[in-house]
Amino acid sequence: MALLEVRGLTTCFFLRRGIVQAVNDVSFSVNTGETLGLVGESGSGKSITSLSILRLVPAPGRILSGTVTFDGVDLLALSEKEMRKYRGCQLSMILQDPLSSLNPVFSIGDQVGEGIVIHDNLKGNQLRQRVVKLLRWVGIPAAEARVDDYPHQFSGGMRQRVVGAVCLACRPRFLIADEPTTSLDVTIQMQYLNLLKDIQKREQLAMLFVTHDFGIVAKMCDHVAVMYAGRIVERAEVRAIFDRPLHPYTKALMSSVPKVEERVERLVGIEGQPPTLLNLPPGCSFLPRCPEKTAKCSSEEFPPEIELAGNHSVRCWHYV
Amino acid sequence: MRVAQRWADAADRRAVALREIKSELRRWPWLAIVILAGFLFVAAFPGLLTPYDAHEMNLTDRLRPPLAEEAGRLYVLGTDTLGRDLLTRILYGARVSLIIVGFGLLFGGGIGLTVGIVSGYVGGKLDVVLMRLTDCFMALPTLLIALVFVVAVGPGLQTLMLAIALVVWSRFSRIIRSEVLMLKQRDFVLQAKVAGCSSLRIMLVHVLPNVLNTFIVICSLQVSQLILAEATLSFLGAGVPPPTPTWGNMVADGKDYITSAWWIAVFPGVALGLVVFSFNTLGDWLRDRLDPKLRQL
Amino acid sequence: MSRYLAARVLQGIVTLLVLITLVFILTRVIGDPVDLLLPDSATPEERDRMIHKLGLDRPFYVQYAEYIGGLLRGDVGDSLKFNRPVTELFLERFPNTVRLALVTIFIAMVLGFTMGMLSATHRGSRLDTLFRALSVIGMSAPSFWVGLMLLLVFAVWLGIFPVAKAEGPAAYVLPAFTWSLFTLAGIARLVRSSMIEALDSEYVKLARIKGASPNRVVWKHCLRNALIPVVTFAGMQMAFLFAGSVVIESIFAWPGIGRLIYQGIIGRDYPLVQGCVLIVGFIIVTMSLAVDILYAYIDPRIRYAGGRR
Repeated sequence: MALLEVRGLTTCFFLRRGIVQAVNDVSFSVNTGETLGLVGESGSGKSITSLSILRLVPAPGRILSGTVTFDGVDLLALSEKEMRKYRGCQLSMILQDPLSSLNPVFSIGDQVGEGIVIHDNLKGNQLRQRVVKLLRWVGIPAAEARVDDYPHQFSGGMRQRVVGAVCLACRPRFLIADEPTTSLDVTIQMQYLNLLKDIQKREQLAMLFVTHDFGIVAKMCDHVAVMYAGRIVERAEVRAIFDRPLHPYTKALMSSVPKVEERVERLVGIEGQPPTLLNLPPGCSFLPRCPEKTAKCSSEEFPPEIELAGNHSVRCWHYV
Repeated sequence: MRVAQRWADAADRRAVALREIKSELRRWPWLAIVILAGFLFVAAFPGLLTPYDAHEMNLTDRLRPPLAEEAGRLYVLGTDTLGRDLLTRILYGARVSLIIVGFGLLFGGGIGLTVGIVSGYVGGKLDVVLMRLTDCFMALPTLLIALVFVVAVGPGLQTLMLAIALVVWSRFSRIIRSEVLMLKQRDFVLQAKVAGCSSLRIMLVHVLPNVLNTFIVICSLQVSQLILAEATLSFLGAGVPPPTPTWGNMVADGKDYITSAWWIAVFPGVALGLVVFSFNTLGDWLRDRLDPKLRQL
Repeated sequence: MSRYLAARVLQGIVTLLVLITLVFILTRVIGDPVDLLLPDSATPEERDRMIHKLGLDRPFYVQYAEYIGGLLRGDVGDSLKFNRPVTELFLERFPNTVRLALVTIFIAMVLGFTMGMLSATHRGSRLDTLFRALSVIGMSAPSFWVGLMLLLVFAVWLGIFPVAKAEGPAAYVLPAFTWSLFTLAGIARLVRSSMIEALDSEYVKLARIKGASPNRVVWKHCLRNALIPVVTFAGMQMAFLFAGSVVIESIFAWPGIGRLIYQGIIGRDYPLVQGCVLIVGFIIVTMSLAVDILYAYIDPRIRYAGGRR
């Protein structure tokens, strides 16, 4: 059985101007020791999906329906107090920008240890030892000496490692990584991804990796789900999606990044803008930008999920 | 059919535009704007709203309460210790406040603007010295400096204006300087230099217009404080001397009659509060619209 | 850190020098002390004698040197009306003002902080709107008028508090509350906005991810970040507070230094006013320095960077 199973998750934001359907009937599952990549452009709803799993959707957003089953327990049905026991301890999330995720007025030791204080109730020297061990684990050099230093005294890559230590302090079983390398230098990115992969293998973590970069997907993920305008439009194993992308959006995303070995005459982008999720019109949301549209596509309904061979499913009128 | 469609579209666009203008205007601070418009109007044309003169004494009508009628003369807000109509004095008092604060602000703001531009643009030792000077002036208690000034030189309109200018300039220079430092990096300044413009010309023609935004915001944020400062000085007897009406010295006059003729002190204070509140609100709003970086002010 | 401190102390000394020189220029160079001391009917001989007595016929730099010398000795001049050194008069009345000031600061901080926190945690509610309106009013209303109104309503009409200086804690309420109004409103606004900024920040999000309870989030994470701008503001208010003492003490007849300065103004006793301002200036500069040191302690970014960001 999957460690985390999301079924029919729908999260909306209620604004004066209308309703933003940030997450629309999203379903996926992640097994222990495996990584699911959640791919899409900015504004596709990936981050809100992550926040919905942890029930940290900011107002005026609300989770309207669906289930998030973690190890058999529906997280959406818990009370806030019960949910807090899961956060940090069973599930955790690495945020995108390490500079703003760390509180500037507390030392890194304090922040790494906070989760331990909350969940495991350690104090004093025991706590400190564990914090130093964690820092070493994520590769902070001279951890013993630097445990009382402040975030602004570290470089970007180091800070993101500290954030990693913060999130893994209580040995969670499920980790969401929300574009953790986007604000890092390219040279540091690889190091960080390797670190994450190591940790995952050692701890047998189930990971949800949110990104817009297919390169990272190829490196880190076992399965992929592609999101567009709040919905999952394609889902497959990594191999399958690279061999045979089905949805036009997936194809467009992959081809828009030029590969180093090929000569490129023109950069291929995707025409148009990502749709505003405010008061979304019915029907296929990719239609205005789709280079492969046909007569079938002008239906008023969103295409249903069609499952093809080998656990590869897609929501596109071409395959209905 | 196509023509009809185009007309319909145009009508739609007009409707949308109108709606957008309306929602934009709804966010303006109307109460503050109305009060301030009233204030400016009153300061400019006090005579239009009252038949009385601000100095006209009627000793038989001393200390009359609001809405009192004496021999056919209606005193809307009552009279003061010398029988002068309170409403009239409040209206003329607006003019005095405006003049003092207006000139003081322009003068002091002008100095601050100049210091800020020169300091930021020229840089180097001059910058260091000017900024140190600015910090010193900002650290000093403005009311007390103004007090010493006025007590030493003697009260009067010009003295007050100078005192206000003296204490307000430092509020401008540091912020303007930051703006100038950022502007210095911009390409159009470089272009001007390449074209052979003198530093003076660059400062006047290129830098100055671009810092006016910030200048206006700071002005609007300072006005309310300056009005309060002038009123406080007048209240303490270190401001505009009687018989010229200013809201501060009117409250001072009313202080001793607070139990018997409360209106003399109350109404000028209400006027003060309303105007200061409006300037504060307008200043905050302008700042949020034009230059949110100044939030910590 | 010590580099920062040294720079700040130097700044303070320079500020004092600027103040001292400014006062000197204002009174001796621009103003005419002789006119202030003698009646208009004085003869030219009397004027000359006064000029010589005050030492005003000597060159400016000599006068300045004497002036500085006097200041270093703690001599800021003698009051005309009281005929005693200003320093003495000041020190006699200073404790009264300090007592009132302490109560005022306490009220401002406690009430202001509470209002700000409640506003921030109940953002958008009617309570929030009420508090925000009160803050704007508090920053707009002229303190002398508010003081008079409170006096009128609570002391004269309702008789709850004493009208003029009396003994006992009841006498402190009205003047302290009036005096604190502006600072209180300012603190409330600042606390509200910096708390909201902290509550919306990414690090609070991470804290929630860790499983922190709302209490922990507010009291541990937000508070310290919210304090920083408040301390700066409170520091800046110090100068304002002293200026306000003149008004407050004159209205409530409080026997402190504010009233002393007020008497100096009314009586055209310029050496008294000048002397008091110099002493107050000194106090303010010293207190600002203390505040900056406190600031460095709260915000570690300054401690290690050796300067303000």
